Amino acid sequence: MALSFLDRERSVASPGFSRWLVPPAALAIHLSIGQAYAFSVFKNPLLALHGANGALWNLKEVGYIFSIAIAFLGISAALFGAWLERVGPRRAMFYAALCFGSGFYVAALGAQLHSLALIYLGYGVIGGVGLGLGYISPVSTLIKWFPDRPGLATGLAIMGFGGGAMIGGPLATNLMTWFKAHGDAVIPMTFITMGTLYLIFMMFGVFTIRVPAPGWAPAGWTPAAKQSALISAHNVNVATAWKTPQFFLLWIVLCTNVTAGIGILEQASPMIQDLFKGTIGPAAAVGFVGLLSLFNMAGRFFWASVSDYIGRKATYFCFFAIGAVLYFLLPSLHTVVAFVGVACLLLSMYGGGFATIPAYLKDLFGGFNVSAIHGRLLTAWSTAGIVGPLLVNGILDHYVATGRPKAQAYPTILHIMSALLVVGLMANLLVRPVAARFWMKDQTA
Amino acid sequence: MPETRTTSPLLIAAAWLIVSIPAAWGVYNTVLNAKKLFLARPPAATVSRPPAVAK
Repeated sequence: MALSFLDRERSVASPGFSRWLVPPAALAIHLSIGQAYAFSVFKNPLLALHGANGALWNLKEVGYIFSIAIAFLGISAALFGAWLERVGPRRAMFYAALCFGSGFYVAALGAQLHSLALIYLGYGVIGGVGLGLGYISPVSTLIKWFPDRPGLATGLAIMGFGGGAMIGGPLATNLMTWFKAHGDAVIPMTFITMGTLYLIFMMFGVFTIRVPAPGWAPAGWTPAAKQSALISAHNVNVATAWKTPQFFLLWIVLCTNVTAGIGILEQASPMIQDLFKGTIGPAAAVGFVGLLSLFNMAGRFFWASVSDYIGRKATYFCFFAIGAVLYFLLPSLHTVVAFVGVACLLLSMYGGGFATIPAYLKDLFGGFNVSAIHGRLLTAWSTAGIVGPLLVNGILDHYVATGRPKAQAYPTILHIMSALLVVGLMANLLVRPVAARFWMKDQTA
Repeated sequence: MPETRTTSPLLIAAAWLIVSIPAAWGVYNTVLNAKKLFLARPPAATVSRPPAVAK
């Protein structure tokens, strides 16, 4: 078969292969697909794009492009997780690269023909499938290569997703400036160039990734004889895992953590300007958003690594306990330094929540089907991606409609986020080891 | 006994370099943006005040 080089058997590492080649492979995928978070740089250029009949798109229509992509991220991660476990990470990463790259090409055609439906199909649906496949594909492989530090390994990859926006944003801006200066079709050419660059970069990951040989373990490493009861030596199949109370509780944990983070991210720029009128202007607000991105990215690596030492449950306890207090206090902070410092800490915990969840799943359900289980859990992210902005924008709209200043809405929003974190705290406290009746009979971690 | 070929440290360094360069470029751009928070001059809160010449 022409694509047999993608088979799992062909990607088994030979003896002597260094596991330190695997994180760069995973990063190549995550740094690429993380571009999705920078899609907002295309908003204004798309709004300014005229159709042949002079028609223009509105903000709501353009906003759906990102929403569709994130929805398909969750759907494809949930649907294809079990398939990915069967065929291996290389094939899944290959299709992720094809979908993500070609999604840009279809979107370029849509921009050229002024067809929003084609952009929805390209960037939203096809690209969204690439996002979902790419997001989960290296997770279980990393966990198998780093059984001694699963948090650090998955944290590294998922940090890449946070960093992807930092590359995608300026890359798109620079490309659009360049094509504009050369009189080319700005958006179509930028989409085609980005699709090609990301396709090549992701292929580096495809051909670098390896799975460990059966029974492989790091030299000199033996599993700890005594460890937390929450770290299972047994595996749970994906079809069983998502019916356990633990899956349901972790779904709430992820959903509440992400919704609360979106409460700040969604309104970061206008919020700081409204709360510190006369002190913070648009330029400084851009700086605030940049700082939040840095802490969002760094928190992914930091907190996931910390979780290897203090445990996943304790890590999420920190997120929810500290987070609930800080969200509650945030509106009462009247100095820019205190407000920015607290917001940065909160965003680091938002990123940490994403990066620590694969290791939490591995602890509870074993490494056998962890990518597939992670894929299904990501529906919590899609849900939060819809609920968070709806909640924040709904409250802001209500304040504006009733003639009250927007600045008065932020305490309400942040107190609701604080309450959501208390719900997450309760869910996390209720997590117990998975009952023996759910374990697979013929597989051990 | 068959000889085991270990991965060259150069290959590992090259792989990390390939992903580190774009990541570092992204972080650099973000830090430049973040600096604006500390360097940007306050917006014209003063704008709401009556200009000096108006009296």
